[in-house]
Order: sequence, then C-alpha cells, then structure tokens
Amino acid sequence: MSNTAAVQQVPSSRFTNVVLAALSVGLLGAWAWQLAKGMEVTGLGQQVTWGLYIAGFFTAAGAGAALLVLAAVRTKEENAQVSTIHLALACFVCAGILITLDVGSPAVLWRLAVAGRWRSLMTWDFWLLLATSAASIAALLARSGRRFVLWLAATLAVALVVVEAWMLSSMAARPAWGGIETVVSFLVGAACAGLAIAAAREQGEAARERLEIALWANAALVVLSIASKALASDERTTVEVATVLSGGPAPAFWAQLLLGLALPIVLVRQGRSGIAVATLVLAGVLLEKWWTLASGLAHPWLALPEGHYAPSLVEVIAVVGAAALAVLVARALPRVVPAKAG
Amino acid sequence: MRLGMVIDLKRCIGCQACTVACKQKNATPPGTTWSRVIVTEVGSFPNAKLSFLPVLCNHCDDPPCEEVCPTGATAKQPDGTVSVDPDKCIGCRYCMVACPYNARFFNYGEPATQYDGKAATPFEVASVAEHRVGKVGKCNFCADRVSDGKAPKCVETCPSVARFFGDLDDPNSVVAKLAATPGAFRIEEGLGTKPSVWYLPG
Repeated sequence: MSNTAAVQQVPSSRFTNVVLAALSVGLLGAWAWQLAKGMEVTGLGQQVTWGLYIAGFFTAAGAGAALLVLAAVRTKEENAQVSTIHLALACFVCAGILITLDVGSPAVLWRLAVAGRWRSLMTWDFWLLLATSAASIAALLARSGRRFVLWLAATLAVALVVVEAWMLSSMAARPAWGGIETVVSFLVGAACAGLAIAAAREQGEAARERLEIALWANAALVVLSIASKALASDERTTVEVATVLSGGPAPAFWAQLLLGLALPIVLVRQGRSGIAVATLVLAGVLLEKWWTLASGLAHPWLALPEGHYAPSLVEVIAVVGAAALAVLVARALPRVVPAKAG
Repeated sequence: MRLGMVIDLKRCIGCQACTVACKQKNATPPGTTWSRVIVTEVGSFPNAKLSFLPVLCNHCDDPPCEEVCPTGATAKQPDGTVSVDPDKCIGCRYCMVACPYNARFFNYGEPATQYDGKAATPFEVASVAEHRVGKVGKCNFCADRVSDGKAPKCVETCPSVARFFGDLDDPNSVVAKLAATPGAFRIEEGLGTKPSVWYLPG
C-alpha cells in the first residue's frame, strides 16, 4: 500500500468506527429502554413469541460456527486462520448479546447457568455457545496445540447449530419446523453467513466459489422445501405455505429470495464479494430465520386472535447495534491478538 | 391422582362466562385469557351455525412445556396439574413455543388496567404481583380454590353446567366416568401430550 493510500484510508476507517460506535450506542439505548419498560417494547405477542432477536441469534451463531470450521481446515494458512477466528469470535459476541436481549438481562442468563436442566435443549444451546466461545479464545491464544483446540471449537460450533435447529424441529406443536430439513437448512444457512463474511475479508476467487456453492445450496433448499410443502395435501401444511408466500412473513421470504440469494449469486458470479455482498447474504439468512419462526408460530393448533409479528423499532435498532458492535470487535481483535502472535 | 376436566360441548352455549370468570378470579392482564372459548362458524348459509370450543391449559400428562423448560420452572405436580414457578421462570418463552394449545401467556410489561384511561382498580393493583413482568403464566386449575375443596372458577361459573372437574384416576368420579364415555376426546391426541382436559362431542 502506498503512503497516499494509507493516508486516505485513516479518515475512512475512523469514520467507519464512529458510525459503528454510534450504532452500538443505539443498541445500549434500546437495551436500556427495554430493561425499563419490559419486553412490551418489542413487536412480540402472545402467539409469536420468538422474533428478530432469536433470528439474529441463530444467524450470528451460525456465521461464527461456519467461520470456525473454515479456520479449522486452514492448517497451512496461519494468518488467515487467526483472522478467521477473530471474525468467529465477533459473531459469537453478537449472538450472546442477542440472546441476552431476548431473555431480558444478563441476570436471567445467570439463572440459566446455575439452574439449567440438561433435559432442555435450551440449556445445551446456552452451554454450547459459551463452550464454543471459550474454545475459540483458547485457540486464538494457544501457542501450541492450536489445531486440536480449533477442531474442538469447530465441533462444538457445529453442535451448537444442530442443537438450535433441533430446538425447532423437535417440537410436535410446530409441524412447519419438523424433520431433518430444519437441521440441514440451519447448517446451510450458517455456511452462507460464515462464507460471506470470510469472502468479504479475503476477496479471493476460492472464497467466492465456496460462497456461491453455499448460496446455490441454500436457494435450492428454500425453493424445494416450499415446493414440497405446497404439493402436500393436508390442510395445515397448505395454510403454512400460504402464510410464507402471501401472509405476514411473506415480505421476508421474498426479500430473502431476491436480495439475500439471487442478487448475491449474481454479484458473486461477477467477481464481487465485498462488504455489500456479505451484508446481503447475512440479511438473507436473518430473513430466512425470521420467516421460518413467524410462519411456524402463526398457526398453532388453537389460535389466538393476534398472530402477526412485525419487529418494533427497538428490536431493529438493537439488532443493527449488535451487528455494529460485532464489527467493532472484529476490527479491534487483531490489535489485541495479532494474526502473527500464534 | 390426576386432576382433570371434562367439557360437554353439547351444553356449551358460548356465553364466555368462563372466560370472564377466569379473568375476574385471576385478574389476568388485557390480552391474556387463561380460559377462553374459540368461536368458529361451521357450514354455509342457510345451514351455518356457530361452534364453541372452550379451551384452557390441558395440564398434559406428558407436557411438552415441562420438557423444554430450561430451569424447571414448569413442573408436573403430584395432583397431575402443570404449574409455573415465577421465581424459577427466566422468561425465555420456550414453553410457549412448545405448547400446542397456546395456553401460556407472557407478561411483556407491567400489567395494564382493563379500563382504558382510568387508574387500575384496587383488585388489579393487588393482583399485579401475580403477573410479574418477564414471567410466563397460565391456568393452574385455580389451585388455591381446589386446595380449599372448591372447583375451579370456570367450572363453578358455567351457567349451562358444561364443565366437570375432579380426579381422572378415581374410576368413581364424575369426570372419569364422563371421560370414559364413547366419543369423548382430547384435543390433538396425536401429538402424544395426553391432555387432562376431555371433551364430549357437541
């Protein structure tokens, strides 16, 4: 990089940091407001009880998991490996913030930590997120045996994604989430999110190829899933498909198909894989979690009068702020634990 | 012992007295109906009619809400009822997602008064502690009344005597005999939850 370029980049970087910090302050404000007023500041109701926070949590945890797996297979590229762990950790920070927002406060998570029952998948989810994050930090700091620790972290991360999908697919009350399909969808979604972040960092042809394959797989999965359900004969499945295609969550579904899958595929094929593509892909995965949750919760066996969910401004500010804070963490980590330190 | 309820749909007139009685007894916040009647229109003109389905927590024998609860706040009691301990509840709402019957309600904020533009009534103020912010609540078969030897409020209130309450494990009880009658059914038995609320067809 020339001196001129370096000089030009400093204000740009500072400006970016200021914007990210401002968005992070927005997160704190939204969180404070939620703590003061309760969860009524969200758009959640008595029927749709999981929304944008959980969707964001699933997205961030999945992205972190995919990045860890990517880091684990990069045995010959130490700098890239460390850099990928930085990104994964930032994703887990984001996931941790979002799940804390969803349950209200850190004190609640403390109760889960001290009184969690292993019979509940939520307890597994909580401890897997902590264990994965701890293993990632250990891998980052390890001076020897990093490969083993990293593979352990990657294994835990994949287990985290599987448990999250299983939390949904194991519910008899929600047939829309049933089966192995949800698990596969979560794994492919995680791959898209993680590979998009990695491609934005690396800008290489190989990274773009990996991302394109993941995007095509996700697109095929989404389309085949909806098509197979549309062909089903039972009334309940028909109603659920109609909800996805034209009900309350429909804008999220169509936005994912067009902006979160089709557009990124076109851009990647044109050789682009920057921050804009990563943002589109991450937004697409987030939208997929959103419409999956909203459509699954929209038609219980015994419905309540209110079944529509739209995130509140507080939720949107908090999720955007959590993402911004994660980017700040990703930018700060290389200064704390430089890539060549390992 | 397994406390349960039988609701005779032939007798239900859809008056919602049970809904109101439950809200009155438990002072549940606006939008929260631990006991309610689902009204649907069946058929088409000129042969259309209203169909009524009173619903409440089914106090399942194999409750999915209890299975997913991460802290043990939701628990199956020796009398067969499913209870929620607000001190243990962390407000994750996993139980609400798992419940097939939408029988659980979350207290998203401070309970509002039922009367728009007016201050909370003394009864509402006194009941705030029972609906703590960030906790899940649901029908408990009026545990306090049952421990005093009384029937749940919805059962006592029903003007058409459509509801029966008692021990399903006692073969001589009215509820056990009614639940054993041909045609008696439970909602979505295929889910394997084994509800303790039975229905006699309308």
